[in-house]
Amino acid sequence: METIYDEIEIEDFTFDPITQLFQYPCPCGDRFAIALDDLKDGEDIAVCPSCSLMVRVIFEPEDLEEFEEELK
Amino acid sequence: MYQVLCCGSNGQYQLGIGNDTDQLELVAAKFEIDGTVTTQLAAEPVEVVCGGNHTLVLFSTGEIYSCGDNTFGQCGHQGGQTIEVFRKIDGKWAKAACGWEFTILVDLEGKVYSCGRGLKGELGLGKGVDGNQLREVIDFGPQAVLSVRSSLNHTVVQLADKRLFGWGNARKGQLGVQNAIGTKLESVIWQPRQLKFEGLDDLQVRFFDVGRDYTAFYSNDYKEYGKKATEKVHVNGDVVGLRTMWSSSHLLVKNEKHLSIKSFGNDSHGQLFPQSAHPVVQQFEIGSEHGLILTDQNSVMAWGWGEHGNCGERSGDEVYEDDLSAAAVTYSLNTIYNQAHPVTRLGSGCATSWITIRKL
Repeated sequence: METIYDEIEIEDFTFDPITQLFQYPCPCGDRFAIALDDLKDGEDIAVCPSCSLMVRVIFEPEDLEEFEEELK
Repeated sequence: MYQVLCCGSNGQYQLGIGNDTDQLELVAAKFEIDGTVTTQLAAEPVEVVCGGNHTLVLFSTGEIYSCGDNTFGQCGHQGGQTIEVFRKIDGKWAKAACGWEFTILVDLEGKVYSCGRGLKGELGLGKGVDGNQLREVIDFGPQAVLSVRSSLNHTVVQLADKRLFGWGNARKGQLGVQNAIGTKLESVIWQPRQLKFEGLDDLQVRFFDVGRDYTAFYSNDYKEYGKKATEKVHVNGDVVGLRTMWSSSHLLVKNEKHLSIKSFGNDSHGQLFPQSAHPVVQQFEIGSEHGLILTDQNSVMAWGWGEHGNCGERSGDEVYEDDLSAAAVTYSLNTIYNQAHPVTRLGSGCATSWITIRKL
């Protein structure tokens, strides 16, 4: 069974318009990441490239609109 | 002579051992002293302070050495290159604290300095100020600063007169009462100011610490402000210490003559101190999601999330080959040091563990 380490609000993530990734610090020193497109598809688990920890992103679909605006 | 031993996450040279490989077993950190790289230290290391990917060691002489990720100058050295072994920061210092990508230093005169990156006010220098090098934040005066603690994005300072100051990310109430800005509450405190926490009498605060996005206090009872909202905590015995991981709190409790640890908060990876175990605790330190204790037998044990070797190598029979379930990366009081050299200090960071020993 997957264990979710924690739940993090989307406002706490940093969004990079170039990579279109949302990132948030992981307790290992690396960063949890999830792509804007994945969130649009309803995915909500951000993973860390350096370890097994995962966080659930807390957001509403309409929260994504402001980030899509940034890409225009 | 002293040595600083370390293990754990090391992708940005934060162990200061000259390579960037995670360490499952303790190795001696390397210090560049007067042009020579050595693991043998004449001065006593009194504190190890850890940021996201950088580390500071404070010595009894007031010297501070730093290593690790220095992209934004968070090691107190000209920003850019990674610091592969511990290197001295100019000046003499009384206290230090580290957050994700920033460092806070207090000099012997009570002047507070910051360096690194702080997009959410972490540097305390005002909005939009870059902190590539050490800059003075505020002058509290000699002997004024009792304690300074930083977590991911916020810093809290306790003064000798018990007033609390702070700066950084305030969005969840981790810095207390937020001022209104128009119709919204401020989300960042950009420059140091006195903090007010509802229902907290500053004068009564005995211990405090900062978690990822909350601040915890112990006065006559336990209170926390910010993201977490722990229900009332009952403690039997006298509380003599408080430390926080990113998402859990840990009280050091004296019962009759023995010290034990009472934990509460996130337990996704065994972060809460195992209540079935009864080692005689002498010291403890808490990292991002793991903790260390020093026992009366001079051994150091680790518990919690140990995926990067920060809880040592598993000593039991369990085999978790290619298994990345929570159980495979969770440890319950694993011994990481039990040799003869007396342990003087513990330190604990983002999946890193630190043990200072006096060489016999």
